[in-house]
Amino acid sequence: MNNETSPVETEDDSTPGQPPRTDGASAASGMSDPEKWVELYGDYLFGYAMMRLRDPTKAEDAVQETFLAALKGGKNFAGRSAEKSWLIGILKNKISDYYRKASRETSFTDLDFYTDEENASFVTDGLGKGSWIPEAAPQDWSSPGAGLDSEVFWRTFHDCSNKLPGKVGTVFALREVDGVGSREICGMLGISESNLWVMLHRARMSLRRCMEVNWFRKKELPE
Amino acid sequence: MKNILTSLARKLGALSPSCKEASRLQSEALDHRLTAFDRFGLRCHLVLCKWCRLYGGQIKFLRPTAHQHAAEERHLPEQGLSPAARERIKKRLRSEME
Repeated sequence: MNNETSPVETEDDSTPGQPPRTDGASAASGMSDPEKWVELYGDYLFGYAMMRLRDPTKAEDAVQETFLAALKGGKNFAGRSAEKSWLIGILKNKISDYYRKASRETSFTDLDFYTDEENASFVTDGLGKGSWIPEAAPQDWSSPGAGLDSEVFWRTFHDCSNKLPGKVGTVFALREVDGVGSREICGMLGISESNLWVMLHRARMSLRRCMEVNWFRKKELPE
Repeated sequence: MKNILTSLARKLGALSPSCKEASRLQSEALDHRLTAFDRFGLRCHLVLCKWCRLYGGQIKFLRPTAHQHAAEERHLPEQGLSPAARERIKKRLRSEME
Protein backbone atom coordinates (compact mmCIF):
# COMPACT_ATOMS: atom_id res chain seq x y z
CA MET A 1 0.00 0.00 0.00
CA ASN A 2 1.41 3.36 -0.89
CA ASN A 3 0.84 6.29 1.32
CA GLU A 4 2.94 8.86 -0.40
CA THR A 5 0.42 9.95 -3.00
CA SER A 6 -2.68 10.51 -1.00
CA PRO A 7 -3.11 12.38 2.22
CA VAL A 8 -6.41 10.68 2.86
CA GLU A 9 -4.90 7.25 2.93
CA THR A 10 -2.77 7.62 6.00
CA GLU A 11 -3.26 4.59 8.14
CA ASP A 12 -2.63 6.29 11.45
CA ASP A 13 -5.34 8.34 12.98
CA SER A 14 -3.65 11.70 12.97
CA THR A 15 -6.73 13.55 14.08
CA PRO A 16 -8.27 11.59 16.90
CA GLY A 17 -11.74 12.63 17.78
CA GLN A 18 -12.29 14.19 14.38
CA PRO A 19 -13.61 11.31 12.29
CA PRO A 20 -17.34 11.36 11.79
CA ARG A 21 -17.93 7.99 13.32
CA THR A 22 -21.59 8.49 13.56
CA ASP A 23 -22.24 4.91 14.58
CA GLY A 24 -24.81 5.59 17.23
CA ALA A 25 -26.74 8.51 15.93
CA SER A 26 -27.17 7.69 12.28
CA ALA A 27 -27.46 3.96 12.73
CA ALA A 28 -30.62 4.81 14.58
CA SER A 29 -31.82 6.93 11.70
CA GLY A 30 -31.38 4.08 9.21
CA MET A 31 -28.03 4.03 7.53
CA SER A 32 -24.67 5.17 8.74
CA ASP A 33 -22.58 7.44 6.53
CA PRO A 34 -20.42 4.77 4.91
CA GLU A 35 -23.49 2.79 3.98
CA LYS A 36 -24.96 5.87 2.43
CA TRP A 37 -21.75 6.21 0.45
CA VAL A 38 -22.38 2.82 -1.05
CA GLU A 39 -25.86 3.88 -2.11
CA LEU A 40 -24.84 7.30 -3.38
CA TYR A 41 -21.51 6.65 -5.02
CA GLY A 42 -21.18 2.88 -5.34
CA ASP A 43 -22.39 2.70 -8.93
CA TYR A 44 -20.41 5.70 -10.04
CA LEU A 45 -17.17 4.45 -8.51
CA PHE A 46 -17.80 1.00 -9.90
CA GLY A 47 -18.28 2.39 -13.41
CA TYR A 48 -15.12 4.43 -13.04
CA ALA A 49 -13.13 1.41 -11.90
CA MET A 50 -14.63 -0.84 -14.58
CA MET A 51 -13.49 1.48 -17.32
CA ARG A 52 -9.92 1.18 -16.08
CA LEU A 53 -9.68 -2.31 -14.62
CA ARG A 54 -12.09 -4.07 -16.95
CA ASP A 55 -12.97 -6.80 -14.56
CA PRO A 56 -16.04 -6.73 -12.30
CA THR A 57 -14.37 -8.53 -9.39
CA LYS A 58 -11.35 -6.24 -9.43
CA ALA A 59 -13.57 -3.20 -9.79
CA GLU A 60 -15.69 -4.29 -6.82
CA ASP A 61 -12.58 -4.81 -4.75
CA ALA A 62 -11.27 -1.40 -5.68
CA VAL A 63 -14.57 0.21 -4.66
CA GLN A 64 -14.57 -1.62 -1.34
CA GLU A 65 -10.95 -0.64 -0.68
CA THR A 66 -11.87 2.94 -1.46
CA PHE A 67 -14.69 3.04 1.06
CA LEU A 68 -12.51 1.38 3.69
CA ALA A 69 -9.75 3.92 3.16
CA ALA A 70 -12.33 6.70 3.26
CA LEU A 71 -13.60 5.35 6.54
CA LYS A 72 -10.10 5.43 7.97
CA GLY A 73 -9.41 8.83 6.50
CA GLY A 74 -12.47 9.99 8.33
CA LYS A 75 -13.04 13.36 6.77
CA ASN A 76 -16.34 15.04 6.78
CA PHE A 77 -17.40 16.90 3.70
CA ALA A 78 -20.28 19.25 3.57
CA GLY A 79 -20.96 19.06 -0.15
CA ARG A 80 -21.83 16.05 -2.22
CA SER A 81 -19.48 16.98 -5.02
CA ALA A 82 -16.56 17.44 -2.63
CA GLU A 83 -17.27 14.06 -1.12
CA LYS A 84 -17.51 12.44 -4.51
CA SER A 85 -14.25 13.86 -5.82
CA TRP A 86 -12.58 12.92 -2.57
CA LEU A 87 -13.71 9.32 -3.06
CA ILE A 88 -12.61 9.37 -6.71
CA GLY A 89 -9.19 10.57 -5.57
CA ILE A 90 -8.89 7.57 -3.26
CA LEU A 91 -10.13 5.22 -5.95
CA LYS A 92 -7.49 6.48 -8.37
CA ASN A 93 -4.81 5.57 -5.87
CA LYS A 94 -6.35 2.15 -5.37
CA ILE A 95 -6.31 1.59 -9.12
CA SER A 96 -2.65 2.64 -9.30
CA ASP A 97 -1.87 0.27 -6.45
CA TYR A 98 -3.53 -2.49 -8.37
CA TYR A 99 -1.50 -1.79 -11.51
CA ARG A 100 1.69 -1.67 -9.52
CA LYS A 101 0.98 -5.06 -8.01
CA ALA A 102 -0.22 -6.55 -11.28
CA SER A 103 2.83 -5.40 -13.18
CA ARG A 104 5.04 -7.19 -10.70
CA GLU A 105 3.12 -10.40 -11.13
CA THR A 106 2.47 -10.59 -14.85
CA SER A 107 3.91 -9.12 -17.93
CA PHE A 108 1.80 -6.26 -19.13
CA THR A 109 2.58 -6.46 -22.80
CA ASP A 110 0.18 -7.71 -25.35
CA LEU A 111 1.94 -7.33 -28.62
CA ASP A 112 0.35 -10.01 -30.72
CA PHE A 113 -2.78 -8.22 -30.36
CA TYR A 114 -4.36 -6.56 -33.35
CA THR A 115 -2.03 -7.89 -35.94
CA ASP A 116 -5.31 -8.88 -37.53
CA GLU A 117 -6.51 -5.32 -37.41
CA GLU A 118 -3.39 -4.18 -39.22
CA ASN A 119 -3.57 -6.94 -41.77
CA ALA A 120 -7.17 -6.04 -42.48
CA SER A 121 -6.27 -2.39 -43.01
CA PHE A 122 -3.05 -2.49 -45.03
CA VAL A 123 -1.86 -4.39 -48.07
CA THR A 124 0.35 -7.15 -46.72
CA ASP A 125 2.55 -7.85 -49.71
CA GLY A 126 3.33 -6.98 -53.28
CA LEU A 127 3.84 -3.61 -54.85
CA GLY A 128 1.60 -1.53 -52.60
CA LYS A 129 2.78 -3.19 -49.41
CA GLY A 130 1.83 -1.11 -46.39
CA SER A 131 -0.74 1.03 -48.21
CA TRP A 132 -4.33 1.25 -47.12
CA ILE A 133 -6.65 -1.37 -48.55
CA PRO A 134 -9.17 0.95 -50.24
CA GLU A 135 -12.23 -0.59 -48.54
CA ALA A 136 -10.60 -0.23 -45.13
CA ALA A 137 -9.13 3.24 -45.70
CA PRO A 138 -10.38 6.12 -43.58
CA GLN A 139 -13.47 7.88 -44.89
CA ASP A 140 -14.24 11.52 -44.53
CA TRP A 141 -16.22 11.81 -41.30
CA SER A 142 -17.60 15.25 -42.21
CA SER A 143 -18.28 17.17 -38.98
CA PRO A 144 -17.55 14.39 -36.48
CA GLY A 145 -18.53 16.67 -33.61
CA ALA A 146 -22.13 16.59 -34.78
CA GLY A 147 -22.60 13.22 -33.08
CA LEU A 148 -21.65 14.40 -29.63
CA ASP A 149 -25.24 15.20 -28.75
CA SER A 150 -26.51 11.84 -29.81
CA GLU A 151 -27.16 9.04 -27.35
CA VAL A 152 -26.50 6.51 -30.08
CA PHE A 153 -23.10 8.04 -30.76
CA TRP A 154 -22.10 7.61 -27.13
CA ARG A 155 -23.46 4.11 -26.94
CA THR A 156 -21.46 3.24 -30.04
CA PHE A 157 -18.36 4.82 -28.54
CA HIS A 158 -18.93 2.93 -25.35
CA ASP A 159 -19.32 -0.42 -27.12
CA CYS A 160 -16.31 0.24 -29.31
CA SER A 161 -14.07 1.09 -26.34
CA ASN A 162 -15.27 -2.02 -24.59
CA LYS A 163 -14.11 -4.12 -27.51
CA LEU A 164 -10.52 -3.18 -26.77
CA PRO A 165 -9.06 -6.17 -24.95
CA GLY A 166 -8.21 -5.71 -21.28
CA LYS A 167 -4.68 -4.36 -21.25
CA VAL A 168 -4.98 -2.32 -24.39
CA GLY A 169 -8.20 -0.81 -23.07
CA THR A 170 -6.57 -0.06 -19.74
CA VAL A 171 -3.64 1.68 -21.38
CA PHE A 172 -5.98 3.65 -23.62
CA ALA A 173 -8.09 4.81 -20.67
CA LEU A 174 -5.02 5.89 -18.70
CA ARG A 175 -3.55 7.82 -21.57
CA GLU A 176 -6.55 9.31 -23.35
CA VAL A 177 -9.14 9.51 -20.61
CA ASP A 178 -6.98 10.36 -17.62
CA GLY A 179 -4.22 12.07 -19.58
CA VAL A 180 -1.44 10.26 -17.71
CA GLY A 181 1.96 10.78 -19.32
CA SER A 182 3.72 7.98 -21.21
CA ARG A 183 6.52 7.64 -18.70
CA GLU A 184 4.21 7.50 -15.75
CA ILE A 185 2.08 4.79 -17.36
CA CYS A 186 5.21 2.77 -18.11
CA GLY A 187 6.34 3.08 -14.51
CA MET A 188 2.91 2.08 -13.29
CA LEU A 189 2.60 -0.96 -15.50
CA GLY A 190 6.23 -1.96 -15.78
CA ILE A 191 6.34 -1.82 -19.58
CA SER A 192 8.70 -0.12 -21.98
CA GLU A 193 7.69 3.04 -23.78
CA SER A 194 7.85 1.40 -27.16
CA ASN A 195 5.46 -1.31 -25.98
CA LEU A 196 3.15 1.36 -24.68
CA TRP A 197 3.17 3.19 -27.98
CA VAL A 198 2.37 0.05 -29.91
CA MET A 199 -0.54 -0.69 -27.59
CA LEU A 200 -1.88 2.84 -27.91
CA HIS A 201 -1.49 2.77 -31.65
CA ARG A 202 -3.50 -0.40 -31.85
CA ALA A 203 -6.15 0.89 -29.50
CA ARG A 204 -6.60 4.02 -31.59
CA MET A 205 -6.62 2.11 -34.81
CA SER A 206 -9.24 -0.32 -33.61
CA LEU A 207 -11.43 2.31 -31.98
CA ARG A 208 -11.25 4.56 -35.03
CA ARG A 209 -12.23 1.73 -37.30
CA CYS A 210 -15.03 0.58 -35.04
CA MET A 211 -16.49 4.09 -34.86
CA GLU A 212 -16.25 4.49 -38.59
CA VAL A 213 -18.00 1.24 -39.34
CA ASN A 214 -20.64 1.50 -36.64
CA TRP A 215 -21.34 5.18 -36.61
CA PHE A 216 -19.88 7.25 -39.40
CA ARG A 217 -20.57 4.80 -42.18
CA LYS A 218 -23.67 3.32 -40.73
CA LYS A 219 -25.83 4.30 -43.64
CA GLU A 220 -23.57 2.75 -46.23
CA LEU A 221 -22.73 -0.33 -44.23
CA PRO A 222 -25.69 -1.68 -42.34
CA GLU A 223 -24.41 -4.29 -39.92
CA MET B 1 4.03 22.14 -64.82
CA LYS B 2 2.53 18.71 -64.68
CA ASN B 3 5.96 17.20 -65.15
CA ILE B 4 7.38 19.17 -62.28
CA LEU B 5 4.54 18.07 -60.01
CA THR B 6 4.94 14.46 -61.03
CA SER B 7 8.63 14.48 -60.34
CA LEU B 8 8.09 16.25 -57.03
CA ALA B 9 5.52 13.67 -56.06
CA ARG B 10 7.95 10.91 -56.98
CA LYS B 11 10.68 12.45 -54.84
CA LEU B 12 8.36 12.89 -51.88
CA GLY B 13 7.14 9.36 -52.40
CA ALA B 14 10.68 8.02 -52.15
CA LEU B 15 11.17 9.80 -48.82
CA SER B 16 7.80 8.93 -47.49
CA PRO B 17 7.03 5.97 -45.24
CA SER B 18 4.20 3.57 -46.05
CA CYS B 19 0.65 4.22 -44.85
CA LYS B 20 1.07 1.53 -42.24
CA GLU B 21 4.18 3.24 -40.94
CA ALA B 22 2.61 6.69 -41.20
CA SER B 23 -0.39 5.61 -39.14
CA ARG B 24 1.95 4.39 -36.43
CA LEU B 25 3.93 7.64 -36.50
CA GLN B 26 0.79 9.75 -36.29
CA SER B 27 -0.30 7.83 -33.23
CA GLU B 28 3.13 8.12 -31.60
CA ALA B 29 3.13 11.85 -32.25
CA LEU B 30 0.27 12.03 -29.75
CA ASP B 31 2.48 10.46 -27.09
CA HIS B 32 5.97 11.80 -27.66
CA ARG B 33 7.97 14.04 -29.94
CA LEU B 34 9.04 12.21 -33.06
CA THR B 35 12.61 12.35 -34.30
CA ALA B 36 13.34 14.98 -36.95
CA PHE B 37 13.74 12.20 -39.48
CA ASP B 38 10.32 10.72 -38.71
CA ARG B 39 8.67 14.12 -38.68
CA PHE B 40 10.08 14.90 -42.08
CA GLY B 41 9.10 11.55 -43.55
CA LEU B 42 5.62 11.83 -42.11
CA ARG B 43 5.17 15.31 -43.53
CA CYS B 44 6.20 14.10 -46.97
CA HIS B 45 3.72 11.27 -46.70
CA LEU B 46 0.85 13.46 -45.57
CA VAL B 47 1.30 15.82 -48.50
CA LEU B 48 0.57 12.91 -50.79
CA CYS B 49 -1.90 10.82 -48.86
CA LYS B 50 -5.41 11.98 -48.13
CA TRP B 51 -6.31 8.77 -46.30
CA CYS B 52 -3.53 9.27 -43.79
CA ARG B 53 -4.48 12.91 -43.31
CA LEU B 54 -7.99 11.75 -42.47
CA TYR B 55 -6.60 9.07 -40.20
CA GLY B 56 -4.54 11.55 -38.23
CA GLY B 57 -7.47 13.89 -37.68
CA GLN B 58 -9.69 11.04 -36.61
CA ILE B 59 -7.40 9.53 -34.00
CA LYS B 60 -6.92 13.04 -32.61
CA PHE B 61 -10.68 13.33 -32.35
CA LEU B 62 -10.75 10.17 -30.19
CA ARG B 63 -8.88 11.80 -27.32
CA PRO B 64 -11.33 14.57 -26.33
CA THR B 65 -14.15 12.18 -27.14
CA ALA B 66 -12.82 9.49 -24.79
CA HIS B 67 -12.33 12.17 -22.20
CA GLN B 68 -15.85 13.45 -22.51
CA HIS B 69 -17.20 9.93 -22.56
CA ALA B 70 -15.67 9.28 -19.17
CA ALA B 71 -16.25 12.68 -17.67
CA GLU B 72 -19.96 12.76 -18.10
CA GLU B 73 -21.81 10.47 -15.85
CA ARG B 74 -24.59 9.87 -18.33
CA HIS B 75 -22.09 8.22 -20.63
CA LEU B 76 -20.86 5.76 -18.06
CA PRO B 77 -22.12 2.21 -18.32
CA GLU B 78 -25.54 1.70 -16.84
CA GLN B 79 -24.21 -1.32 -15.05
CA GLY B 80 -23.68 -0.62 -11.42
CA LEU B 81 -22.63 -2.65 -8.44
CA SER B 82 -24.55 -5.89 -8.23
CA PRO B 83 -26.88 -6.18 -5.24
CA ALA B 84 -24.63 -8.92 -3.86
CA ALA B 85 -21.52 -6.76 -4.11
CA ARG B 86 -23.38 -3.86 -2.60
CA GLU B 87 -24.36 -5.93 0.41
CA ARG B 88 -20.92 -7.41 0.77
CA ILE B 89 -19.29 -3.99 0.80
CA LYS B 90 -21.79 -2.62 3.29
CA LYS B 91 -21.24 -5.59 5.54
CA ARG B 92 -17.51 -5.15 5.37
CA LEU B 93 -17.82 -1.47 6.21
CA ARG B 94 -20.12 -2.23 9.09
CA SER B 95 -17.68 -4.74 10.54
CA GLU B 96 -14.89 -2.20 10.12
CA MET B 97 -16.82 0.40 12.07
CA GLU B 98 -17.42 -1.85 15.07
